[in-house]
Amino acid sequence: MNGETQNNSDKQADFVQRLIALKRYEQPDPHFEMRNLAALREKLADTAPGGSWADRWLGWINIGSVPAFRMVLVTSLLALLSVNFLLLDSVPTLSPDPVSFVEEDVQSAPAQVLQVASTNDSLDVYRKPVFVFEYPSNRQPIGPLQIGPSSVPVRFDY
Amino acid sequence: MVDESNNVETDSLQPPDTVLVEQARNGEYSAYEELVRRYQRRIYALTYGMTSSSEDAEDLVQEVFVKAYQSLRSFKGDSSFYTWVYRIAVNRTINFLKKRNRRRGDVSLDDVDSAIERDPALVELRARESPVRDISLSELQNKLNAALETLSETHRTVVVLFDIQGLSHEEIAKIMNCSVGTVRSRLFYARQQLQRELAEFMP
Repeated sequence: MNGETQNNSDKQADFVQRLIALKRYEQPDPHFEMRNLAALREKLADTAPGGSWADRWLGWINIGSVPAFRMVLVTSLLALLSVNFLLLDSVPTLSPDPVSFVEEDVQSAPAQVLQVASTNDSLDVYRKPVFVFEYPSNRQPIGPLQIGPSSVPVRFDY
Repeated sequence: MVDESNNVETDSLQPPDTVLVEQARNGEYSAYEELVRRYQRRIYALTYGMTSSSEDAEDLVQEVFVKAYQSLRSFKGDSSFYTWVYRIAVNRTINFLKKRNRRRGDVSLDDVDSAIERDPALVELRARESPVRDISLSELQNKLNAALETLSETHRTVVVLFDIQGLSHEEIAKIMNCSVGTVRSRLFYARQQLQRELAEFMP
């Protein structure tokens, strides 16, 4: 009984295959080949084999021997670049408004502005603040200027 | 069936695919055109079998050969040109079907060769004592296409490549980048599904 059922099932599977195979008699119209060749010639007229660099990249991703591996590689690279950009955005920048104060104990010169480029305390961990002095002076150093390993006796008289 | 050893089924006077590929890479378009001539009907049969639309099939054939030409430099010759271009065709057609299924298109069928009348399967069908003996060719065509459309894209691909195009399990496995076992299993389940869909024709 089981053998008969199996036999019938095999027979049906075989007939389905033969029935579907009838589709091979469906043919494109007789001008298909010439039409296709002409259309391709037109499309590829200005294209060199290999195409643009973008095509080559896409081709490399899609049609490789290990496409999944290549896809993962490219995705990882893009993810890495994105993370890098996000980290760059979170780095603190210098304060845009410098703080000014007056140097009071300078007598011979008018009050000068002392600028502190940055007063952001959080930056102290990473770097010292940068001071920019603006102090016009016509005074000359007194005594000879020595340059050597021991000392540099330079005196400025303010 | 295509002979994989020299990639062509044409006579020995014809240059093998590998030579034509090399010439095409060096800019000889006529060499590429010869490759297109060799495989365009097969690729059309594949795309038509999967889409059941002659217009879509023709567009896809062009897309496939444009893509193959643009990617010719990335073709390393690990497989034959024929397998490689089939792989492009299968991937493109599956992608196309996934998009098309969201906006179901019209079906436009090709003409049927008159040789079908002598096919043993049709002769057997016509000899039956059942209503299916009077079915017209276009009705049969529609029923077969409708049954194929019920299959998933991958199952349909296996059926088209094996049952309609006559490729071997090994060739299909290379094209679809899967094991021979997977091909056999897909074919088994696809036929079961088709058997249910075409129950009225079963002996």
